[in-house]
Amino acid sequence: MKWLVTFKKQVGREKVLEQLQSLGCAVHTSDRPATLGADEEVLSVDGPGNLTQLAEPYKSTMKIYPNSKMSPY
Amino acid sequence: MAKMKVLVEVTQSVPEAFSRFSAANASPLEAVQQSESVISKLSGLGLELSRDVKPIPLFGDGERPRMAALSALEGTDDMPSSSLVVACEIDSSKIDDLKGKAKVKVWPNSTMSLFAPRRQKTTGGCPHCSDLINAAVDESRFHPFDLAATASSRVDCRPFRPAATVADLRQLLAVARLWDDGFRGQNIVVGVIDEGINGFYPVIGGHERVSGPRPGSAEIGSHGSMCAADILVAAPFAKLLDYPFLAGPDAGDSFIALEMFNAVLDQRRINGTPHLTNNSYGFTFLPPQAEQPNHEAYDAEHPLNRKVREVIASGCPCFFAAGNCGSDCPSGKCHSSAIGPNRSISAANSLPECITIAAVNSRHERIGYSAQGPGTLHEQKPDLSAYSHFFGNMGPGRPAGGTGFDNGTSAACPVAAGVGALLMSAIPNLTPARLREALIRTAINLNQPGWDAETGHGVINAGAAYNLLRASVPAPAATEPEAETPVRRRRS
Repeated sequence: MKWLVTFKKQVGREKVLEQLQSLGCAVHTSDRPATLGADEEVLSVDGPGNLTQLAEPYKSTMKIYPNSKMSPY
Repeated sequence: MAKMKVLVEVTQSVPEAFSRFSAANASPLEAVQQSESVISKLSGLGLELSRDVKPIPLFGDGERPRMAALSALEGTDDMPSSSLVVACEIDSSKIDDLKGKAKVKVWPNSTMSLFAPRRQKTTGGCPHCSDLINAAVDESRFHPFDLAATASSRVDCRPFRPAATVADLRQLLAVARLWDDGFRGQNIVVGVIDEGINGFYPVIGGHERVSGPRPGSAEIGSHGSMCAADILVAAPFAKLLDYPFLAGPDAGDSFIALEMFNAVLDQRRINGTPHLTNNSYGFTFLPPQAEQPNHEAYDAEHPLNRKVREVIASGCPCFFAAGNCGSDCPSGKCHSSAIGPNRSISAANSLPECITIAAVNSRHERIGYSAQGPGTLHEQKPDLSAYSHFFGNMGPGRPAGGTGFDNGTSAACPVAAGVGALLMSAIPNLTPARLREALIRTAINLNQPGWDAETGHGVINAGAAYNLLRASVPAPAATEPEAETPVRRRRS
């Protein structure tokens, strides 16, 4: 399933990537990482359907959201 | 309740009444507009204008001066009316309420018969319509905007109806007021976050993803090209930035939209453009909230929702289509989870700061697939309505050609965005909140007074919004309403 993962920049991208890989996620890298506000980054990952529950131990470093698909109207 | 045909006479002195009558005869659109103006103060009674209506002036009710003027009519330039009469239909239960209105008289509108046998009418036709439609057309019921039979309700669920033209829409939107003052969207750049735009349209840049399509490279029949065409209805001199998120790898994913909005923000940091964005897409399926409480539709803190709010906070209004999952006749793409009130307007499309656009046709009938509020993140959605079902990008003689027409709330939204661009070209430093407020305050209300869940505050009108903005003083930044607008947390 596709997910969006947000984390504070001060946590460090490498640390978050390690944690996500340990949860069985594949991270999509982009030459233009998305940011939120002044101090957050967003990653696009493919991961297990229950990633929200699996990532509970890491909730201090990251937040998990669905990466849902939209259609033209 | 049974509907009654009545003649509604409204005391109204209109100068040059004969000229106005001639104008109404020459243009059905003018006739409808004049008629709607006559009954504009009679909202809330379910009054519906009859087919082919135009206001008929009356010149005095026996006052001697007026009768004397009529007796010497030949050679006079024109004269003012004393009242105007329009043909309407109304529920019989509302007749007494109508009669109680000030300056209104209600008369029967009875049907007369020939004293000779009726001749057989030949069927008319439409060169652009299918044989099936042509076979069903009765020439006596022809209306330039609608060859199908008039529905008794004001919801349009017909699978095909001849579309209005760009010229019709420009008149309906009252763009002339701004155009005459020299404003046509010049110096305004609209970001189109969509499937991609064809280079026929004035694309000056955009965002190219890794392995994604190049801005300006889409087919002429693309959804994004339709949006481009429809922005240019009101603002023909606007330029476009192409953000093709509905094409290429992972097309339609929230993350790609997030990337596009991020690119918008970055571009604005560099040179202040785009000045506004158009977004004619959304969700046609919603998972149960209990299963995905932080889905885009339910969680205002979802990154995409936050990013859209960042863009708006930077001073860039974002127009969003309400969606096509209205309960009357939803699009075939809609899952039941996303149909109807409380579901069909969701996610960023329902953010309070966005300007959410429903669809009406050129007769001011709500189009039945147009999504209905409340929104999942804000109750009072849609905000406004704009026109769909017209020959914009598609249609005979149009850039994409064919026999189809621009449709969906996807077409209505860029019509509204074009009005936004037009107003921004005329009013310096127009903030998203001020633009939204002006459009809402001057919208042509269709149903009950104020807001309703189907058409919002009513149909957008560029001319009226322009007049209001020119006359008003902008509010100080500290009191901008979007800072205080609460976001509804949807409860499961």
